[in-house]
Amino acid sequence: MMTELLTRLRFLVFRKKPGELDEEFMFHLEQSIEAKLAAGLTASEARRQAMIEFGGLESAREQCVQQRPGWWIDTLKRDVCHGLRILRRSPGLMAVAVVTLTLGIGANAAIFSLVDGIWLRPLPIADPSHLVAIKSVKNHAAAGSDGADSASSYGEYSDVRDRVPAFADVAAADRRGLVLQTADGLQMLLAEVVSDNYFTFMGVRPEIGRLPDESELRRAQAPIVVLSHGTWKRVFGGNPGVIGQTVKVRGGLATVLAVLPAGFRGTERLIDPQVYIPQSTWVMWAPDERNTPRTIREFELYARLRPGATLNQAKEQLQTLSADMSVKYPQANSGRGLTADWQTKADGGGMQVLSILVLAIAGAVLLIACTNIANLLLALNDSRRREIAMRAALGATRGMLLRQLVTEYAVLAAFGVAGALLLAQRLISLVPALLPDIGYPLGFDFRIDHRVLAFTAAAGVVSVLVCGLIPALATTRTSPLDAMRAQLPQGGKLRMPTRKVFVVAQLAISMSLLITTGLLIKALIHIESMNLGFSSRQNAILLGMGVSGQGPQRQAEFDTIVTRMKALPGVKDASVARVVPFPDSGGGATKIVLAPGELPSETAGTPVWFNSIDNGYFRVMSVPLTRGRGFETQDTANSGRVVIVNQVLAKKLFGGVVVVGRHLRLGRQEPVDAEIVGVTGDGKYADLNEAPQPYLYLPLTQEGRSEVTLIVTTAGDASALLPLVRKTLQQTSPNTLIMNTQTLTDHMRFVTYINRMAVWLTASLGGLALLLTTLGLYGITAYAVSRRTHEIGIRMALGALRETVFWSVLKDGLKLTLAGMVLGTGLALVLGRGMSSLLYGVQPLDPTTLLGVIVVVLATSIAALIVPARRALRVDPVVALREE
Amino acid sequence: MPTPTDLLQGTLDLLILKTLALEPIHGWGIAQRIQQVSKDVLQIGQGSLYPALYRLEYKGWIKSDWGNSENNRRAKFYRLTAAGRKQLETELATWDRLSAAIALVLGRTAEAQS
Repeated sequence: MMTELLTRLRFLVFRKKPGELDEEFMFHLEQSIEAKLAAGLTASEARRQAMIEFGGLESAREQCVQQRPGWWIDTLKRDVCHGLRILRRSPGLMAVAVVTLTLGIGANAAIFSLVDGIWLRPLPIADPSHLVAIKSVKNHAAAGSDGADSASSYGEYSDVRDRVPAFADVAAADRRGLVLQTADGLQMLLAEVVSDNYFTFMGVRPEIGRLPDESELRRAQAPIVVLSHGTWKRVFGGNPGVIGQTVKVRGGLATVLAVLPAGFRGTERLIDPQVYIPQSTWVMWAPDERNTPRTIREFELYARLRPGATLNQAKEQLQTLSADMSVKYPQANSGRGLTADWQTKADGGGMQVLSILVLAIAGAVLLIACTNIANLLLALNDSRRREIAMRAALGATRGMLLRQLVTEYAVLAAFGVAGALLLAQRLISLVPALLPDIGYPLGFDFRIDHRVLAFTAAAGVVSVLVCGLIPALATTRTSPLDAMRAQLPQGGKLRMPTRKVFVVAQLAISMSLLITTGLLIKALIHIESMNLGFSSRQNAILLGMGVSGQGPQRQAEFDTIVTRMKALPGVKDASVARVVPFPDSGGGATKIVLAPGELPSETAGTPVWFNSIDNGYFRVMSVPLTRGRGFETQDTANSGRVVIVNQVLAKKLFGGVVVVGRHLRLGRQEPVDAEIVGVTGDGKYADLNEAPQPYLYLPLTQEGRSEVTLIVTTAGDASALLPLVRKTLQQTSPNTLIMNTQTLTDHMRFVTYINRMAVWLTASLGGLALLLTTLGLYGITAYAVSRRTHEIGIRMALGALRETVFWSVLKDGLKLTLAGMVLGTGLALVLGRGMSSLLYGVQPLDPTTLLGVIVVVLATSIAALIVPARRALRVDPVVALREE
Repeated sequence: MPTPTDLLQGTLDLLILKTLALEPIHGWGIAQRIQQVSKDVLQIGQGSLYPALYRLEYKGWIKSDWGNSENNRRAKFYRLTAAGRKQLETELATWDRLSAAIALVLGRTAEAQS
């Protein structure tokens, strides 16, 4: 009822004056006494009986107060105030506790925010949890042969859409580049070419403009594009007038129809597509793609189940379809099958493992922080035992005492959570600078949102429970009688061992984290010294460019560009190649190579990664030539076809026999003969962890391509040279499109990005863990010494040597350290197994790492122990004995 | 003196509302009136009277004002609000239904009692 609610609200704000209550009671008593006097009682008797009748004044008062809605807020406020007073009473201890909590929870909040942004947060589409991802997989995947091409052709997309009844709808998306002509010249945009039903399928509403549906797009006569929020802001200045405008793209003209809302990235997690183009528009620009052969797999397929249909039904129907397709299109589909899974499961891959690992480690650090605080609070509560006993004696129930203590800890945790959020905010703001520059906007979206807030709050609550409840229960367990005795009771039998277990666990966790860090650093060093088959550490610019023209004309353009670049001041050398090792697209394109004597057929041959290079590539990239020659000017489009193979391929094709001068065949059904003119050393081509791979080099003159990478090396700073290179390129070849630019160092950074991130994370968390553990070890030893003051006093009075006392303290602590180190090494072994893919063959029990970590942990432990041990030395027997 | 009967949960509210329906009156008066009307059967302990009054006031069913008592002492007078009057009607109806039901269970028809 409205009035009732209003009244309640009013009383919630304005409380009754306490005096009123007393005045009312007094009036009542007076009336009662008067009535009794009138009945003939004596004054004192009347008063006595009235008081008896009335009952407990205080309890009546209390009950009246408790009628007030929200009276418990007052109690809470009182508890909180009391908590604050207690915290202020031991500021040092509390500062340590708050800082510990801030670090522990803050690290977790930051890491959760990262993990959430990369992998956990649901995609910004309608009903993300029911999105099905469809992949095309090989039935007998040849290990590492030609990358993970699990995408599908557009023809397959149409088939899946028409012939799998379990799916309500299917959408397709493919990442391409789109050249946009802007006021600042040509720009390469990351485009998502999508099936016409995509926007409806994803359930996205435009920020401005209008998203057409499928039938409308199919009927459309003119090309259209849809901009991402970022592109709209960056390229078009956030001008709402862009809707309906015509923009020039490389394929022709297009009308901007809509801008998508900020944060929409479709199904992409790591990148942020800049423009969305319906397939119907794309084929207007590239008519030959209307009938792309089914062997070209470029589209990722996503589906939604029809109501009532199950994923298993969909899988079965996909199998039937796959069998059908492999008969119909053997070249594209034999040995392949379509499979489906929830997108949430298919997503992430390696990131997922890493994320869970890192979250687990961060959780362990928080656990360390909590046990530390639990120890601190136990110590603090010991000194408060008398206060608590007093309260119990005055009638506080154990529940009330617990409530009081837990409220205090909640105050502590509130400070910790607040600090943690600030810390996490700071840490997250640092992350973009740590991300590699790949030339495209990254889709990582790290922020403190309600999910992170909820996580942090939960971490705070759990921390309070873990680190508060144990001390609280232990403290309130003592009977008032025990506690009131002058003597401080000896802590229960369980308590010291509990703390020791805590410290040993902390040591074990820190130890294992540090070992892991050591292993990861060692792996990074190992990568640095790893033979990659080319010189990855020189100063070079990598510039992706699209050169116009065909055949000899394009070749001449390449030569002009390289010659001009070489002539620039500061430039050492220059070269043009299709790709450099570790291309963003993984292994990249493959050529089919037939083994000697193998007959051409639909399924013959092995796919081999290849690169098209100019004559200077080996020189510029320092790729060692072990036999024969490199490509030379005599290798032209009209001369006989030549190839260079690496040692793995040479061995694979011809065994150990000399291969220069022999021939191999390229292509599956109509193979082309090519002479092997040279052999290079082996290297890494797509992944640092890959097994030795066969590799093939073709001359650019014979295997041309318009999109290539210009490599310019310098003795000086590569990034400083970039503007000059860019400008020269624009002057020399105005029609050439500059796509993305990067230094070789940045490129290699990206290759080892995950490794360096892992080192960074485990190192900072391991360091934090060690710091907290040291504090914990110090705390427990200091506490033990303070408890033993009496005993030490007696010993010294009886003539114990100072060294003996010193060692007895140190020994107790070192025992814990040793136990922790043994456990930690075991734990590290388990962790090392889990991340063997990041360790590149470094053994989990690497002796140098182990030794290094043992030294570090031992040294910090001793440092933590020395302070309390010295304090034990300063115990004055006379004072210590008198104290009791 | 007859032993005071324990009041049924919630009945005290009804009694207070009913008493206040006649005229505004202070706490002592309420207790006295209930005792008189019930011929000393119902004695309201102050320990429960005042919390009940506060509860009712917080619910907005009664209101209090300071005034002067019969013997010119400052006293707090409670009176029924419009919402309280409505509440009284609801509670009376509930009471009638309940007591009739109890009477039926105990084998005394409502007619027999009246």
